Amino acid sequence: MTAIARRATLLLVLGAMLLPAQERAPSPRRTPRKWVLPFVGAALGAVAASAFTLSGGGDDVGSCTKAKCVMSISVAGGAFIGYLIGREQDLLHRVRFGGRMPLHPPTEALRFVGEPVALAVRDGAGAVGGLGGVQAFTAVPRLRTTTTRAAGLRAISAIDISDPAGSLGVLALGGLYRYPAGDGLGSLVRAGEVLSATVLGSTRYVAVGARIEAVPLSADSAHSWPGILLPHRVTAVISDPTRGAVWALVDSSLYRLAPAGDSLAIIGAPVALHAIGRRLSLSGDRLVVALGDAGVAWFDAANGGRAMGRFRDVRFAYDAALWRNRLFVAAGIDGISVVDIGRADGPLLLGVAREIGQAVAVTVSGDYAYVLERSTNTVLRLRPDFPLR
Amino acid sequence: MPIRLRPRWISLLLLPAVGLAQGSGNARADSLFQQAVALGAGSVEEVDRGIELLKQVQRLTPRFAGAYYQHGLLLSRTSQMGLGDLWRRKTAEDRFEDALKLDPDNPYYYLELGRLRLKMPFMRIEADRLFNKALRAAQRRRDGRAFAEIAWELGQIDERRYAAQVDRRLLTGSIVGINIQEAENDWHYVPTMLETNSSPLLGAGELDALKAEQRYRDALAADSTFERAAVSLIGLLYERKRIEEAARAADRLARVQPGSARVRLARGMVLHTLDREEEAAVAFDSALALLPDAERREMTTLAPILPEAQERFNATLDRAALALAERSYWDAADPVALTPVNEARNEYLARVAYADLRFSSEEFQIRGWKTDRGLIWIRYGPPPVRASFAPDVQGFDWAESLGRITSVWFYPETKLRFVFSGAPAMGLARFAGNFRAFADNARILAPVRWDNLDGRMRMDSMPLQIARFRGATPDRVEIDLYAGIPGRRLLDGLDLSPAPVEIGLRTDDGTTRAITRDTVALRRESRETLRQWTRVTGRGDLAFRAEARQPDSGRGARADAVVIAMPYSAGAFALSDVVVARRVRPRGAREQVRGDFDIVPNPGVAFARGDTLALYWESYGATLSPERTATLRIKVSVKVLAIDRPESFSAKILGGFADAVGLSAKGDEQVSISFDRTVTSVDDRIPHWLTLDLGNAPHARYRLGVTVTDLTSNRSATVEREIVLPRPAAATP
Repeated sequence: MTAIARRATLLLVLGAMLLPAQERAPSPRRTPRKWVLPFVGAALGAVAASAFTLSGGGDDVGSCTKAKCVMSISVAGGAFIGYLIGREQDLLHRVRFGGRMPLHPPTEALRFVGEPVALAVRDGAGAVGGLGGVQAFTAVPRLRTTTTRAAGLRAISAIDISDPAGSLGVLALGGLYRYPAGDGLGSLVRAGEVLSATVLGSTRYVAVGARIEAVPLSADSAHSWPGILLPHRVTAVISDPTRGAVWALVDSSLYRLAPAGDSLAIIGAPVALHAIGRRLSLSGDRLVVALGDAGVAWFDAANGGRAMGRFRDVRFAYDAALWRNRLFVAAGIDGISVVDIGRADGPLLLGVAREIGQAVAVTVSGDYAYVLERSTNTVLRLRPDFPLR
Repeated sequence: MPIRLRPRWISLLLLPAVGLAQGSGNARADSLFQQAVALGAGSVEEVDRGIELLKQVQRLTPRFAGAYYQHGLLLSRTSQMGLGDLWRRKTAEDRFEDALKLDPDNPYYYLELGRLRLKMPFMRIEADRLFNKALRAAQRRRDGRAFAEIAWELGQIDERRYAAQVDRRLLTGSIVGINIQEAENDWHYVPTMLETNSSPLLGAGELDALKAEQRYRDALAADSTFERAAVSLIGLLYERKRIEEAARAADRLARVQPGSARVRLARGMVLHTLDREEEAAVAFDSALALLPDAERREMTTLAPILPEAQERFNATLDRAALALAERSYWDAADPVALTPVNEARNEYLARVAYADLRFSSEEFQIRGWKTDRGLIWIRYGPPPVRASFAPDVQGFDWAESLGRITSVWFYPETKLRFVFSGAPAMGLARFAGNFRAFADNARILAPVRWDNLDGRMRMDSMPLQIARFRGATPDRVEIDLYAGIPGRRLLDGLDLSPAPVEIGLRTDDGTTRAITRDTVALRRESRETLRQWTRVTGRGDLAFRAEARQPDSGRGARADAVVIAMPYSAGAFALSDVVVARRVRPRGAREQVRGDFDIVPNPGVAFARGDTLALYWESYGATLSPERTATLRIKVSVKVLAIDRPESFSAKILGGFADAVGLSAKGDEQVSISFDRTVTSVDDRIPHWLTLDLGNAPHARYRLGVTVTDLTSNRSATVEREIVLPRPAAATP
């Protein structure tokens, strides 16, 4: 066993030591390139040697210029170089996938200007936000950019399009800005460090530091609004219209709240996440929480947020979204991890779509999943039921 | 002069607890051993004494492995790369081997032997092998600390391989090497060469980066308090633009290692990148507070970003004066005084932190901000264009590049480019060719640039006119400041209504600083909105900064000025500054004080052809007759200073004093209009005003002079002001 292979194995063993055992779909057998490329290299060497020989070659005494010597050296050299390249490729494959199945979902792509950092899609329309404002796009039938709004706003971090009436909430360095449906100038409605917002009924609930405030959808000027103070910073909120609730990530806890007068009240006990939550999404009765380097966890929204499962076999979960029992995890440089969470014996990693690029946001809307890829500033659309092989 | 080892290396020398903890079993040997360890942190002479003591220990207790190990350690840590120390390194190697014979599975012994190999040419693969042996030994002994340190060393090897390959480009076409000379002489060479004669090698270094990252994580899993792995992990994630991951790691590691200045510095760097400026400032300040005094001063010195003459001057200052000079520098550099944070200082510290993380070399004992790349990074920030090229095996153009990685940094905004070369996988690179001299020259023109802040806060200039008047008492000076807030530029393209603009004036008299601020709603279509402040002061120098800031977009505008306030001597005949305005007219019948006039100043003192020019000034100290009248001769001159095309022009007084209206003069480069005025006044403060028509005055810069002579006392005074008639910008087709 070569030193590099021993190193790679040690890396994988050490890495695996840190993870609780989680199942993975069996990866298809892959022919090691270190056995394939030597033949390619040898063939190329043979071609080069043949060309040399046919061009006249040489017959200097004491030098390796005769056909037989040149051929031998070229073939052996080509094979050796092929072996080295193949070995490097095998090692890279092992480090990239580590036994996980590579996935190649067909995607459609739409590129944006600036550096979008936020993605939201709803009912066939979507938007990305970042440098340059909020760029809207149609999601179906084709991906196509439409308008740009919120131009000039500095450091846009998130977008809220959960208002059924179509108003746009833009979260930026200055606070929360509301843009009316259609077009028109926006206005600041809440100054401060606003990290998340969601709409329930006629109110937009806004996470400002450790508070969640209730901002009327019709508000068009900046105030401090009635709200509730929570023990720690609120990093994400999402509305749950079915249960008339708002779920909130508060440091390493999940809270359920309900409208109470012009504010909110906590319902039940908070659920421990054992890690700081990043993003929150809701699919039917299941709440999905992206926990960064602690993976992804999902909870039963119909049962007080009871913990249902956790998936840790990911380097860093930027975001996560659920389509039926398929969990899509935006895993940064590892692309998208696809996990089956419907199995009785625990989640099963179906594979990793690494070719997608640096996935930093994912959402599911209608028949599609949408991924924000950072390195090319692109939104990718894929069918969540794509075949695995 | 005895060479003292840097204090931080003391911890490394004392780190191996193996020999110390176990002891030799011989009291005298143990005593000598302790003395040797203590001497190991001293000068070269003291280290040599320590080595002699260790030799005695070895004679007393030949089976005490720690003595041989410590002996090897002292030799190894005090040896340099190169042939000069070959014998020293060989002896160190022998001592480590002796230690291993006595304690074969000691991970620290393999670790140090591997580190020694790193200093030897062509031995890096052997070092790798020894580190892996050390790692397995650490695992067997369940020594978390040793495991962490060894895993980190292995990660460093992987990371250097990554650093040697990142941004790699392949030369294409007929070009076979980088022409360093041409890169220096012609700025076109670099972008042209990159675009037409090279292509990027996608994914280069990815494997090594992933391996390095895993090593650092393994090190932290084994020992979460291991600082070097912490900063290396944060630095690598940051370098790979995985900022959110770097932020998460930095937050967690700062909690686990609260006493680590470098982790806090790294965290500050990440927070600054995420635009969390206030948190970044806190992180930086807390990091600096943790550093030893000398290191903090070294790290925060402005020397790299000052002009050379200023750097030399600052070096002569005592600590208090230097601190004041640095504070003044940061005050001036702060892009927006209206924000609670100095963004330029944050940017500077972020650059220093990055240089420390990415360019430092433990084995060569160099801190990153002192390297050539660190210097350029600190001065000009991250280069928008970076490229590296494989070692040149032909020595095409410059023998220096033979066998070395060549790195090219290009700043398109300023056309600055820098070329570095360094041995592969050594982690060090120096200026190639004459680029050190090139960098020195660049420093003359631009000792520092903050271009990468432009994306967050577009700062514009703002016109500011300042006029001094005598105060209510002769020992006070009233300073009027007139600023033109560029509303259209601040609000153009901003999709927001209302879009308030915060306006402020900072006044600094050297001991105290005050900021007055308020928020206004500007009209988008208004090109310029006038804002006026008045400050009353005694004698002294005052520094003013007028600012306007649109907080939602980060756009702003500012103007800086220093005003020397000299009170008017009682009884002396003097004039105030002339206010150049668009309009001056009395509000009513009374014309005794400034408030009796409606003055619309022109902050930029720029006019268009056909505009009328209004002037306002005051005279003090005129001799009044018993009837309280003063007789004054007023001369207004307008002189061309710099002109586009010579033309003759005329000036005609349109408004002002009845006996002056209609007066005109014509000339090639200067016109003067003079008239006498008799005015009744309650005191010796006499306001004057005129409206001028400059007729067909050419586009030029002018000096406006006002001379007033008291015809009773025959005393006169003159004030001047420059105005400009700029040529209009050509219309865009």
